[in-house]
Amino acid sequence: MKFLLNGPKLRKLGVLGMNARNVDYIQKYNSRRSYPNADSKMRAKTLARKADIAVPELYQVVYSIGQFRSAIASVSDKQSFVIKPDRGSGGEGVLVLSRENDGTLVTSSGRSVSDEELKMHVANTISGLYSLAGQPDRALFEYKIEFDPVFEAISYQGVPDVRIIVFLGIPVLAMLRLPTKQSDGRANLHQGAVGVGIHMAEGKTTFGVSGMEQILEHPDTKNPITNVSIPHWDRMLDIAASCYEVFELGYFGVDLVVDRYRGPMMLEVNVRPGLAIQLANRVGLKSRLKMVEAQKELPTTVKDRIDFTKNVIAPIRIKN
Amino acid sequence: MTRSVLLLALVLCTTSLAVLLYRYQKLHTPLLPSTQSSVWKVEAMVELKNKELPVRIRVPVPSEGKRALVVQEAFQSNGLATAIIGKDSERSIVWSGKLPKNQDPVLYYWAVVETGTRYVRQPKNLRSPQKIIHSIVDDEQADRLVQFVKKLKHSTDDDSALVTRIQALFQSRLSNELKFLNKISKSEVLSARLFSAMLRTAGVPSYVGRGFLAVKAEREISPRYWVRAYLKDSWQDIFPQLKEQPDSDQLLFWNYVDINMGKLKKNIGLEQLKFAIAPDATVVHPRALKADEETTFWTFISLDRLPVSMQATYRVLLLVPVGALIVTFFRVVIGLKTFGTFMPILIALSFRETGLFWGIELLGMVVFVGLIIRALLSSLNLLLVSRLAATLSIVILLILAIGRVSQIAEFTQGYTVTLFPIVILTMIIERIMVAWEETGAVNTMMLSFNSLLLAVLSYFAMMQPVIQHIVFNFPESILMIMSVTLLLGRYTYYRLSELFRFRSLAEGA
Repeated sequence: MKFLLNGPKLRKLGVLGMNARNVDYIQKYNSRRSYPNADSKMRAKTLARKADIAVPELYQVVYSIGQFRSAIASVSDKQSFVIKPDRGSGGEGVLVLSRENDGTLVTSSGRSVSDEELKMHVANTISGLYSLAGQPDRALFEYKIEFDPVFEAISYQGVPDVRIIVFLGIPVLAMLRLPTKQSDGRANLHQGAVGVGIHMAEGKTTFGVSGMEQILEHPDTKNPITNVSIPHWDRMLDIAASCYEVFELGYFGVDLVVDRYRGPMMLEVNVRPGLAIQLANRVGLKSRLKMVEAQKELPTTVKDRIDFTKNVIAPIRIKN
Repeated sequence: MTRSVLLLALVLCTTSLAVLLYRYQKLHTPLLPSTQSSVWKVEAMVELKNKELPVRIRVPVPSEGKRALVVQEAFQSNGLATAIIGKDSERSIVWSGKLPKNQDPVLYYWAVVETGTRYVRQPKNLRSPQKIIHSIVDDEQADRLVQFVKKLKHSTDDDSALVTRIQALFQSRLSNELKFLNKISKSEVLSARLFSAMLRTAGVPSYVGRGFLAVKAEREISPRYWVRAYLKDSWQDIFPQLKEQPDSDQLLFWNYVDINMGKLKKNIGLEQLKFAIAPDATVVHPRALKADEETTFWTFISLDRLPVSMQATYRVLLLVPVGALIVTFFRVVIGLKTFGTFMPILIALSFRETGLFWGIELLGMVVFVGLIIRALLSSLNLLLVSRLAATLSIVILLILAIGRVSQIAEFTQGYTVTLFPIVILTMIIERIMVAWEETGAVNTMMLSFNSLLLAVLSYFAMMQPVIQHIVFNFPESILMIMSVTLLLGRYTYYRLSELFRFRSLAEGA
């Protein structure tokens, strides 16, 4: 029960709580009007492409179940693809499929899926089973990321991604999210994925967290997860910082992946990024947000903002 | 931002408190619930002397027209011509004619009456106090009484003191020139009439109330007589010969006209009149809205002016914000995660009807069986909406089955399951299922447990008689609840669960 007395300490360390995140950052810095930019993955894709940010190719959008056949046909020549709800959250309803030699489709965990099951999944998605407030939704058929071999040793099925929190255009905190057996190949921490902090200036991983536990190696592959250099780190910071103008949001998280062939790509933008990133980095998010808020004048160009991240934000750590 | 929220919360809170205090101070709405039932069923049983002869029987009944106390009334005429005539103090039921053959010579009149004397008005056309005094005592005694009262009036300006002094005459053995009062104080009706007349002689507005003292159900209850006196800007109920005054919430006012047998002798063919009372919790028909009562701001915001059946709905409605406050607190301050934001409140409301123990049993039963069937439906690959509709039908059938089985097993609690919000149950089943598939069993169990915990907590809060009393009698208290939720809306400190979640950061430093 000692934890009940942690409040003042956490406050001193600048740890951001859920209530403060919602009231002081999300509601204060994000205009409602801009939410759909991030909440709809399709809209996010369009906006990103306009700004020359690479995104996974969209094969087909399914608005009604009648289009299911044509969507399946559109991916018949693809070795693998992903089905996503357009307005899903927390990785729910994402189905990663690859084709076996005999043509059957299997999920990332190796379970084979019949056409019937797939149709059902798409129907559920369209009816809004996975969408934010249960409103009717669309199902997206898109390119499946072939992740960079760097992550081979430290992920279990699925695709690892990098989450960067951007505040007023300045990347403030980042983590690498590694799928595990428990997360069923998904990169969402609350589903059991591992989060690994990233040093903002160096682009190297620091510490890991699984649930509330601090870890140093991947729970399934047992390989060390610290001190891994994230490939294309500077380009990632560049994408993250430019999302500020593209999405017209003040506080958000952007999810990036490194594709083996196509390099860094933007997966999605999240208006309500989780707070576990603080555990992975062992740093309070608020201490960094306060630093940004304290600036009289923030750098305006993307390049200057990244310099600000590297020179001013990155050194803010919990002093041991 | 924070400032304007604080300001708004303050305004709401003070407004609510001001209205509440005004009601309490000026309108005498009690802050705490009385343990008494406030609605009683009174039965007047009239027995006829002779079956063969024509009768004409007139019994005073409570007034219904203006600011009435009667919630509902009914009578049994056994073939006699029956009518309720007159109004106010004249209001009475009349049975007349000859009883048809083989008819029971017992007639009934029932009224469901509210306790308390809030609505009782001063009667018109009272006889002069002198006349009343002279009708009770002889002329010489009457003179002595009037002299006594006049002397008393001369010596004090305080009406309360005056009342206490006169009341003392009826409570102690006198040996002076007023000792004839000793005999009178043995009769409640004579004491009340004499006392009231003496007060009026002294200039204190007063009259005699007739009714019953409703404490418990009684098969035969005698009418009681007491004095209503206007003191300190309000009407007080006084039993002159009693040292311990009963609570005025226990008084069932009947009529200004006497209802004891002696006074009803004029009736033709009446053998006897008996009264019985019982607390009545099941008032079915709404009391007609009092159209002739002038609507002021205060009566407008008083829900006890509503028909009783509508009151029941408002009682439930007003409890919802209480539940919402608890849910808000647990989510924002404690950090408890549940299925759906306000789902626990709806569950808690249904527990109100079923009782907590059976509520949980029945809920568990329906959800458990529902989940099994939902799992079977899952393999049929149905579209979401059809699946929900199918689950809905299953839930309804389950509820029917539980009701029937309980009926056969003579287990009445089972019926109450019908009061469960069926659509909510369906959504619970669906959400549990999806959560199970998506986030695993442990997380689902935790969410279910949290939801149930919150439902139980809201249930306990909503079932508090004090809380029920306050939100219903002082609906302005909802503004106070709202001000707290507003403040919680600006609560940016860590949730309790986060103190645990981030403990490694705190300990690492």
